[in-house]
Amino acid sequence: MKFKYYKVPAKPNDAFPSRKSIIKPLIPIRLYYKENFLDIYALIDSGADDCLFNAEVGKKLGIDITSGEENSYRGITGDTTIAYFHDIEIEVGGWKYPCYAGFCYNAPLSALGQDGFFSLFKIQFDYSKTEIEIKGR
Amino acid sequence: MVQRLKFEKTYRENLGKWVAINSKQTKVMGVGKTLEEASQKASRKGEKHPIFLQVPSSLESIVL
Repeated sequence: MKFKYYKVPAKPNDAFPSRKSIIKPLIPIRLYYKENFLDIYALIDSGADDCLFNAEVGKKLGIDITSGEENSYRGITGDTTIAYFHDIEIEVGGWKYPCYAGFCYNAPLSALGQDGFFSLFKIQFDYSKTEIEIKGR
Repeated sequence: MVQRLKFEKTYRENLGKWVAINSKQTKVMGVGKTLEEASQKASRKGEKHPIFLQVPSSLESIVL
């Protein structure tokens, strides 16, 4: 299944003074928990160890967020955050599969990481065509 | 062919907010400070299963 990158605005800065936008591999996915489901846009993030979602997403799905097992994450800038893990299912491009996903109260976005996404799919990024191709393994 | 919603405008107008987009991905159905608020606004417009977009609070570069 193919998806197109999304172009989003960016703030020009000293390092990139002419930058006005950037493209991101955001894709629509469906999350399931028990009888509930929710559709969100998530970032395909090869640098993320796991699949992490904002806690508001989990709350809407009916998940008791803090009842999950904890893992702490440190970003490249050194900031840390706690994620609470729960068993959910994710549907991407028609494929539905189980995923042990983390939910964070301060997550600025939802990320599809190595364990639980890249571990299950073959993902090809084509930046010049602004295209992402996802295939089941 | 229906053009999908462009996120450039959506981001600029909704920094730090949750945006509920219709299932055809063509228009904004609700915006809120929380996902629940965006959901309720979309529901009032008849969109029961929108796709939620969490817009960052600023346009600065992001690294996780």
